[in-house]
Amino acid sequence: MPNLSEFFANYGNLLMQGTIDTLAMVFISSGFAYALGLIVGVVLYVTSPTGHHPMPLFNAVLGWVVNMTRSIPFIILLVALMPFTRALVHTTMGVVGVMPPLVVSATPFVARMIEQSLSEVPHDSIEAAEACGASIPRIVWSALLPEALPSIVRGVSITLISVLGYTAIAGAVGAGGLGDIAIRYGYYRYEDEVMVVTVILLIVLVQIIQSTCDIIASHIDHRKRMHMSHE
Amino acid sequence: MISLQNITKHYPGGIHALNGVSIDIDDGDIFGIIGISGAGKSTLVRCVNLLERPTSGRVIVDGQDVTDLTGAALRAYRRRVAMIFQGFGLLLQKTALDNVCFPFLASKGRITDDDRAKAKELLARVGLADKANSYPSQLSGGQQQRVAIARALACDPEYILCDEATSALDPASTQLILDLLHQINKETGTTILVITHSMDVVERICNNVTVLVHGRVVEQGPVERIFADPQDETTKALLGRVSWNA
Repeated sequence: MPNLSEFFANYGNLLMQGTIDTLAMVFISSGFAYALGLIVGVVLYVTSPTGHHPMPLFNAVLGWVVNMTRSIPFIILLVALMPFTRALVHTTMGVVGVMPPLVVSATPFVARMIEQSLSEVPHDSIEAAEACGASIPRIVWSALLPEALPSIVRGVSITLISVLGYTAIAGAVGAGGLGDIAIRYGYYRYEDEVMVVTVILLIVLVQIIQSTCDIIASHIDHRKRMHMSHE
Repeated sequence: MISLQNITKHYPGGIHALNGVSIDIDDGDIFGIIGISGAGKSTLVRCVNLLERPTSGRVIVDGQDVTDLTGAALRAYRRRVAMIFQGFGLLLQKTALDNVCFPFLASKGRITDDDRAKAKELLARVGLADKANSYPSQLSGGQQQRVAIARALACDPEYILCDEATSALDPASTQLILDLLHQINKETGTTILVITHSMDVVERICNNVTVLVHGRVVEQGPVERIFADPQDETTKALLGRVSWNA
């Protein structure tokens, strides 16, 4: 297949770099988003009117801020945050330049995912932990989060894939990565082969992320009976 | 001694779960609180370890008013009063051993080798020495409840509250759990408060019993007396002496 080898001679490095850039944007941004979103999610859960430390007004305000941030379309947020981004990382371009808006956008998303995962934990188990004389931080750290972990890991795949989608949008304003390549070569220059390969690469990434998270989640989930091989 | 003094509990929406309940539970006793669903017995037991705050009334334990305890004092008090639940309340992502060790984690923030050794002894005591590394999902209901009992014993409680502890279990497991509680009471003198809707459970392990109807005490006294000469209609019905429709 001379065509194929010619194609990869021309575009191989570009696509390789694009893949690396995309993965860097997705994983680093999601890492920061989880560091922040985990805290916000736990606070939302604990301060809810039925939570362990009800603070209805604070909870309502925080929930409103989270909803507001989630309402803003990513492309608008990206542009609106440019002064902030420039102040923080001294550029609004490339992989680094797109990370602050990605983090700002993904954090409230993560917060809601965490809150959701925590609320799925059976009330019985947590009440028993409370009856043992555990403090709220202890309940969160040693009971709630470990019990919710399989669900949280399943949420990670959803977050990573959403952020992957955002990086493609960010490609439109010079963020780099596969989305950028798809737009520059496929959309502006009508080089369909590049676009198709880019899309295939994105599909492969999504599949890998989803499968990996599923495998990890079922491996750490002890709520149902073990597979035969474990017994 | 646990002294519940004129406990009321009102929920928003005008539901009165408890209306002036007063009960004294002597140290070393196995005390039953019986009533049909909705009688307020679960609410009452949850007022004892303050998972619910009474709307009014006092909870006095060994002469100390614990009703308004908060923070570290409340947590220290809860470690003296262990609880066993109908749904077992085990952490499903932790092994039996780690569940039994949880009270140590709650009290000190870490689990020492001594704690683990003690937890293993407790698991052996409830007959589950070989299940230390099993997860709750790998255990039967009766076995899960025995893990919960081992967890309750971890902090050497003075009181054990059992909220319908055998209601989800088959007769054989029920017998095993009741025998275990009885044995614990005999050996350590731990006071046990048993919440149940089953007269059978009361008859098998309790010394004294209170009958609760619509959040009020209608009858109270030694089990033999109540069984021999029930006064209230609900008690008679619970004993099967009259039909519910009568």
